[in-house]
Amino acid sequence: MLLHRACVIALAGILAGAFHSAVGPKLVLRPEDQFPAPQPRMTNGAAEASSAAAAPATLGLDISLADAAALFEQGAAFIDARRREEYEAGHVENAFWLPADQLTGGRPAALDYLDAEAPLVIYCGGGDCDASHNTAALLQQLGYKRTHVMKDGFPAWRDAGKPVATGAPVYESGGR
Amino acid sequence: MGQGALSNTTARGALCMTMRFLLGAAFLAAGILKLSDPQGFAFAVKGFRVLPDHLVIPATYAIPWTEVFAGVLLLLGLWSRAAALVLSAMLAGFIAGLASVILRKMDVSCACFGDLQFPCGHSVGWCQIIRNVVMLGMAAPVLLWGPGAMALERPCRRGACGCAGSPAGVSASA
Repeated sequence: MLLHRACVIALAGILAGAFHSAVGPKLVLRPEDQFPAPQPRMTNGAAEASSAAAAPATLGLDISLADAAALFEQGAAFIDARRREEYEAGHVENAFWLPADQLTGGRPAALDYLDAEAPLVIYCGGGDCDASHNTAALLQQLGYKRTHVMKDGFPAWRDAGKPVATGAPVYESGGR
Repeated sequence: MGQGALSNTTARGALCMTMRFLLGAAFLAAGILKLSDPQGFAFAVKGFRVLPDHLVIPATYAIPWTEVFAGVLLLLGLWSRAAALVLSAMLAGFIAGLASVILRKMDVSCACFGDLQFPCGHSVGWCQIIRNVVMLGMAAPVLLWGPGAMALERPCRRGACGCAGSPAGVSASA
């Protein structure tokens, strides 16, 4: 009798567990499975980017706002080289945050998303801000050959009414 | 359970009742805490590496639900000995799992009470084993002698509220 009742209790637990498992959230067995792997490339959302298209080879290192806007339309990745507070207060929509000092330490997370064959547009605060050139130089050393600097910087982009966003870099939390 | 219920209780009846309440409350809480974070408990079960992968998630849900059912039965005093038996078996299993982790020198988090550290820390060690042995000791009176006083399955009548024997309950000895 005692054993029968004990088995009933255990069975009730197993059945309740089976039901809960079926209706509950899907569980993973390893913490790293909770977040999807980063996509190899993130576009800026304006267009499906392809490394074959985009900037004509004749575009030099420093590019104008108009050329940068054209690259944006084609989905080129933008990189913000300023300080984090400046990035969070406002940046080009979907831009990556990558100041030069992140490239001198270990490998920053942003690099997982940047395609070495595709054009990259780096900017900072405009005027005599040289952070963008520093980041560009470091990226070129890492093999990103098609780097460009939007020399008029973020203020010009914003004042021209181009797409902007605020907040922390989205890829830091392991992706959307 | 009449007015005289407690006053007629033997010492053994009081002991069983107390152990029943404490154990029932502890396991009900443990089960609820685990169910509130199934993913966390799943990681812990996987981390122990005593079950094959395809049994980890069934165990993740079955263990806490069994704890809840057994805990409620103990608190109410229904099927108390059976509930105590189930919990004793689970405690024995937990002790075996904990010992296996310690012997293999693995560093695993227990998640026995969810995020609560009660009274042991998160990391598996001798504290959890000792705690489980103590709980086994608490289950023993209930398993051996029954629910004691204030149990639904054994309403106290005018006789003494002993632990065992018929409800007419005459455990004359304490």
